[in-house]
Amino acid sequence: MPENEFEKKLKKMMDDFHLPPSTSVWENVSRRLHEKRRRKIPFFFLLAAGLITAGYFTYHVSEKYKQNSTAAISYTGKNADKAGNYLLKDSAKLSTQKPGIKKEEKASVSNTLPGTQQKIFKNELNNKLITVKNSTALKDNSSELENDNAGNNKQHLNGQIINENNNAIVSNNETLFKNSITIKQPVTPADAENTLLKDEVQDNNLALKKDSISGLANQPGNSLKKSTTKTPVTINKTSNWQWGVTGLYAKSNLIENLTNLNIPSAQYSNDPLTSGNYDTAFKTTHAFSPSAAYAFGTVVKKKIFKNGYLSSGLNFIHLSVKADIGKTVDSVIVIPSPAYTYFVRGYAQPGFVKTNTSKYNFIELPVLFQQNFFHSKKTSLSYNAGFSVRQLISSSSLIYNQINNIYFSKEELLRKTQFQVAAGLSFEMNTGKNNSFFIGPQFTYSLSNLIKNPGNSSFHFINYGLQAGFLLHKK
Amino acid sequence: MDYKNLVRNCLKGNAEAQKYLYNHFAASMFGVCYRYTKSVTDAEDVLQEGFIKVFNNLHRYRHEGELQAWMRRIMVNTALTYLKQNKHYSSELSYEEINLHPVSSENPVITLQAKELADLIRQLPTGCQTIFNLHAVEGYTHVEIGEMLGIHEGTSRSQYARARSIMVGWIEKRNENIKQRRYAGK
Repeated sequence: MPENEFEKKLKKMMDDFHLPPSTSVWENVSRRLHEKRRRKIPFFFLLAAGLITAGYFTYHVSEKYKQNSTAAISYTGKNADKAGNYLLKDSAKLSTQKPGIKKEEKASVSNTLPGTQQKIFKNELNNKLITVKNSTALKDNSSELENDNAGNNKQHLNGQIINENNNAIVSNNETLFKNSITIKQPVTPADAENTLLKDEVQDNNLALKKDSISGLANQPGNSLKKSTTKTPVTINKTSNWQWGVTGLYAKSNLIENLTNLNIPSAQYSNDPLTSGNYDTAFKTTHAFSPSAAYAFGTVVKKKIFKNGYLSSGLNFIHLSVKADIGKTVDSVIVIPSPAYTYFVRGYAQPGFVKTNTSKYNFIELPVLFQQNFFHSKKTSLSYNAGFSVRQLISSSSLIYNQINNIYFSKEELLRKTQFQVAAGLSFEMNTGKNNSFFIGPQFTYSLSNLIKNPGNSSFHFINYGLQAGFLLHKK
Repeated sequence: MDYKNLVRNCLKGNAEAQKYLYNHFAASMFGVCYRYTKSVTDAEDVLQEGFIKVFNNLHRYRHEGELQAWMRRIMVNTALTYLKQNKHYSSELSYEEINLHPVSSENPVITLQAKELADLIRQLPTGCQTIFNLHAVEGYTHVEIGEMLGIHEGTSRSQYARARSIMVGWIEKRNENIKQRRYAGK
C-alpha cells in the first residue's frame, strides 16, 4: 500500500489517467469476437450433420435390407396351402422324419453335419429344397455331404423319378449363406408335411435373403417361384457390425491446392549469415517439406448392403511439416491483408540455419464408405472414400507469408476446423473366427485453407501413408 | 450507470452493447496497459487481448464489485502474461534481489501531467516498472506481488525501492529544471 503522500498522489493520478487507443483495437476485438462464434458453429454443425447423415443412411439402408430379407416363399401346386415354408433345425431330425432316407444315410448326414440347420422349400412340382446350413465346418464337409447324398437321389414323386445331383447343393449369397449348402431332395407332399417343423422356423432364426431365393430359383431343374399369394416368413436379420482400433503412419505436407500441386515457394540465401538478404544470390524452394504424421483411434463399421460398409470413428491425428529457416529477426513487421493488418514480432526468413518442424494435433471424425471389390474366403480387397472433419486442438507452427518471404508464428491465424476428403484401399484378412486385420494406403486432402487470413498464401494439408487396424466382428 | 443491463446484453452477444462497453472503458483500460508496456503498439495488443478476455469471461462477473475494477484486474493480468510471453520483454525482465536500502522518504511534489508521469514509469527497467505499477498504483502488497510473479517478497521490496528511488530522482530533477527555467525567465 502506498506509504506516503508521494504514492497517494501518484496512485490518484494514474487511476485517473485515460488515454484513447486507436480505432483498430475495437475492430480487431470485434472481429475476433465474431470469429470465435463462427468457428465453433462449423465444427459442431459438421459433426452433427455427419452423425445425422450417417445415422439416417444406416437406418434407411438397414430398414430396406430388413424388408428385402422378409422372404415370401411358397409353391403354387395343389398342396400349396398344406406345405408352406418350413425350416428344419438339424439333420438328425430330418433323417428320422424322412422314411425315404435310409438309416445309413441318416447317420451319414448326421455325422457329416453336426448341428446343422436345414431349410426346406417346396416348389410347384412338390419338390422340396432342404437347405442345410452349417455355420462352422460346412465347407470342409461339403464334398462328403455331396457323396452322402449321391445315393439318395432317386425318389418317386407322382410317378416320376427325379434324379437329383450334386448340383442341387447350392451355396448362395456369400455374405449370409457363406457356408450354407442346399440339398435338393425329392419327397412326397405327405413326407414334407411330416417332416417340416414349423415351430423350429422361429427357433432357428435362419436368415433368408431374397438373393438366395432367387439364386435357388435360377438353378437348373428348380422351378422355385415366389408366389403371388405369399405366405411370408419374416426372418430376424441382424446387421453386421465391426469395430476396432486403427492406426496410420503417413507423411504430411502443405500444398497450395490439389489441382496444380504447387507448394508455395520460399526464397533463401545460400549464405546463412546473410540469410534472407536479397543482395546475395538466393534460391527458390518449397516453403514446406513433408514430415511425419500419425494417427490412431477407434473405428466402427456397419454393413449397409452386400459388400458395402459405412465406417466412422474418432481419431487423434498428428501432422507435421518442415521448413528450413534462417536467422530469427527480433523485430516487428507489418503484414497488410484485405481482412485486417496485423503486426508480427519476431520472424525468420528462409535459410539454412535450422529446420523448423511445425506440429499440429487434431481430433478427427471420419465418415467413409467402403466397398469390397474382391472377396475370397479369408481375404478381401476394398476401396474407401468419404470425408472427415478435424478440430485443431493444439499446434506449434510457423506460417509462411509469401509477400514478405518470412516465417512467423501466430496461432490465431490458423483455421481450427478443417474439412477433408479421404480415399484409400484396404486389404483385409480374417485372423480368427470373429476378427480381422486390415492394412492399406490412405490419402487425405484438406479442403479447408489452414490459414484464415487471405493475405497469406493458401495452404492445404495432404497426407498419404499406410493405415492398419484390427476389427472385431459381430452379426 | 446500469452495468447489469449492459453486461446482460453483452452476454447475449449484442454487438452494440459490446461496443458501448468497450467505448466506455477503453481509455481508462488503455491507461493501465500503457503503464505496463514500452510502446503504444504493445499497449494496444494488451488492450485487445484484455478485452477479448473480458468479453469471454463476462459471465463470471458477479456484480459484487465495480465492473471497472474487475476489468482492470484482467488488464493487469493480461499485461503480465504478455510481458512473460514476448521475447523482447522476457529478456529484460529481471527480478534479482538487490541490496535492500530504505525506501526514499522524499516526497517530491509531482508537477507532471498524468501522461508525463506514465511515460516516466515506462522508462523504468521492465522488472522495476512492473513491480512499481503493481505496488504503487494497483496497491498490491509485496507478498501478493511475490505470488503473482513467482518471486520472493524481499525481491519485490528491493525492486520497488529501486524503482521509487529512480522515480523520485527523475521527478526532482525535472522539478529543478522547471525552477531553473522559471528563474532564467525572470
